[in-house]
Amino acid sequence: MIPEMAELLAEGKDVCFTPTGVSMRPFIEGGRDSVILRKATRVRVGDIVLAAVSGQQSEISGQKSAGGHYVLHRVIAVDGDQVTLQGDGNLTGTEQCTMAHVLGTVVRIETPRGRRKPLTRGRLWYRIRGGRKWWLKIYRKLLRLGLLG
Amino acid sequence: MRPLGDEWILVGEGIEQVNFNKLITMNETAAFLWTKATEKKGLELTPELLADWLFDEYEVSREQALEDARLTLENWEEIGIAE
Repeated sequence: MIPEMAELLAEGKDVCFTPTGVSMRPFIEGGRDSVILRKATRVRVGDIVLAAVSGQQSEISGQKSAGGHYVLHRVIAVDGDQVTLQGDGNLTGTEQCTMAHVLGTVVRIETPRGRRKPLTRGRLWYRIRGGRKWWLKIYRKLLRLGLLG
Repeated sequence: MRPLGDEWILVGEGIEQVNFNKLITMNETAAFLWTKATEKKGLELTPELLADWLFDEYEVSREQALEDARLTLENWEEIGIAE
């Protein structure tokens, strides 16, 4: 499915879908929130992007792509053509790709009820990543208690 | 129409956003009928017309073709792509 999305994005169309997985908590709740992607005219630190990275299995779709997989993660560093990504909900682990492998940028996050979720650059969240394990524990508790819409 | 796996999805020409949560997917037979149905503008879609196309294209009896055509048209009306 993602190659088809990539094609549509490259044609200038927006793509809306519901990603799966927990790697973008607390900003995107996989299996529940939907995102709208648009072709990226430029890639900046703080953007949430869909990218083809080298590695094993995709958290988004479970699909294995030839020689790599796809992630919907936040850009935490840009060095020339090199882009470093990390899921907001991941404690460790980053991915690398080049600018050409960034398929699209998230321009909107929506809850199932159609309510818009804030799309920030995630700067504060990145700064407190040392305590991410605990923040995510709290987030999961709030989620289980149904206090997060 | 665009391929998606071994099915086809409808993507409108002027559509600026494609919602993968609400895709209209079609199997090969439905895609065949849709292509023919949209070839000429203002074509009146009746089960008999679609059945003719199915009968000409596939190895199927007239009765089966008519039944399939009726179900297909019903489905298209349900999802709002035909009236």
